[in-house]
Amino acid sequence: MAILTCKELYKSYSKTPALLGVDLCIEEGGIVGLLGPNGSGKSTLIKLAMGMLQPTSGSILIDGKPPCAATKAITAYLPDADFLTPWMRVSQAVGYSADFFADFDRARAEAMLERLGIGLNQKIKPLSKGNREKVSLILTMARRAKLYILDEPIAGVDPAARDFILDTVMRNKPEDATIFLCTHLIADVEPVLTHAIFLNRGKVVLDEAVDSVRARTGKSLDELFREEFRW
Amino acid sequence: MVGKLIKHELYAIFRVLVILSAATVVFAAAARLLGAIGESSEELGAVGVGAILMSMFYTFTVLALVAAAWGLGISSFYRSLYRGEGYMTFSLPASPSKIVGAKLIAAIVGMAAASVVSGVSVVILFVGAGDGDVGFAAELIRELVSAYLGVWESDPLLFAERIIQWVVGIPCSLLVIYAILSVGQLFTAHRKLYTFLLLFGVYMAGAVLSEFCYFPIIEAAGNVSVHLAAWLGIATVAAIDAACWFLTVYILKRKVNLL
Repeated sequence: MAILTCKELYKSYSKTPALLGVDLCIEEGGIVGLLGPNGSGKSTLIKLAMGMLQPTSGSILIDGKPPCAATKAITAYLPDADFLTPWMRVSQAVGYSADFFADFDRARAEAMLERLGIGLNQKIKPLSKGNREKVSLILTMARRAKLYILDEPIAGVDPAARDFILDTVMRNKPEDATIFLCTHLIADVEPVLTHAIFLNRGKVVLDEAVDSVRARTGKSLDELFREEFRW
Repeated sequence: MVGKLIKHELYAIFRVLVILSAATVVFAAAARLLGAIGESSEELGAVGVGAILMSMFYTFTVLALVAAAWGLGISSFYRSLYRGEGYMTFSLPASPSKIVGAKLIAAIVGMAAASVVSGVSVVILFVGAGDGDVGFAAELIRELVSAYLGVWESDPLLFAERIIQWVVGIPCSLLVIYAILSVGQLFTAHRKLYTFLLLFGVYMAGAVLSEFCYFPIIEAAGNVSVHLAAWLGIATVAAIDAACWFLTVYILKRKVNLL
């Protein structure tokens, strides 16, 4: 069964179009890269999948249902914005996730935090940007979800942190889960991707398995991306 | 799910209110104690100055407590739904009605707690005190209570109607603010400006409608029967509560615009 389906999905902000007739069908399993330059509509598509925006027309379904409480119970979402509550301590943020998500693995989250040297008693507000992103990632990947949606998880962090983030994603992904990874840093994520979707100015210009792209074009995703989105 | 939402909302509110409540009670007690010691002296010495200072601090903290209870109820709604924390809130496997309901209940509990603490602090401030201003305040409270008890004795139905009016009115101001904030976030630019204009417009319109429509109707109904007037009042406030609730939940379900 398709874990994420879009049918003639349109989204406009006032008169500015963001998505123009997107049709997608993402099967369960694998790591799907939603790739495109800034302003191509990646975050818009993800927010529509999470019910944080409403389509202008068309539909988007998660596991066969429109975004609702039931789809959120099976979807772990890491936004590109800082969503942590500043006054909380790390332990309270862990407790918050454990309280609301039945699939949250508290022991796993605490083990990952300990590995990073982030104390449970630390307040979130004074944490560095990189550490806050790591905490956010840990809270997301500590869930045993069916679908993980990661919006720009490696943007704005140093290369060592990028390696850690991708390593954490790969280590903690359940075997049958799907990861929907949205980024414009193709070279960093290409080694882990199984399927690629290129989004350009709100339209899907590529929707293909990574191996198939390489076999067909003889190029890497990064090379193809640079050609497709040349200024 | 609603219980968990309420639990977290109450924690977020009371982590601030507990501190202000404690400060309010402490300053009230200090002002009373120093005032009692200072009363025995003819001159305004250090104790008297201390009593005045404590009274000032008490005034600030009790006002801060009431303002914080109100402000936290609104900011908790706005920040966790229409700002960065909204990403977490909208990821929760909970329907918009449960989220809004939990925030409303927690906000009301916070405001009720602030009222109770304020009342207790007033009692502390005046306990064992003599006549004068204290006597005047005590007399005022006695008259208010007598007015309500008098209604209970002469017309229990009217007393019940006043209680229902009070209960229905408790969430009204919060729900109106929730609805205004929700409509305000529909705008993609200058949200704060449009929200402020909406707030101003709604309250101005409410004042005009009350003056020229609501109060004359209530007065006319009161001439027919006090119970008719009471139930018209209840129905009006209940309708406002329901309209604001459904508008807020509808916007969160269908029109949320988390940018």
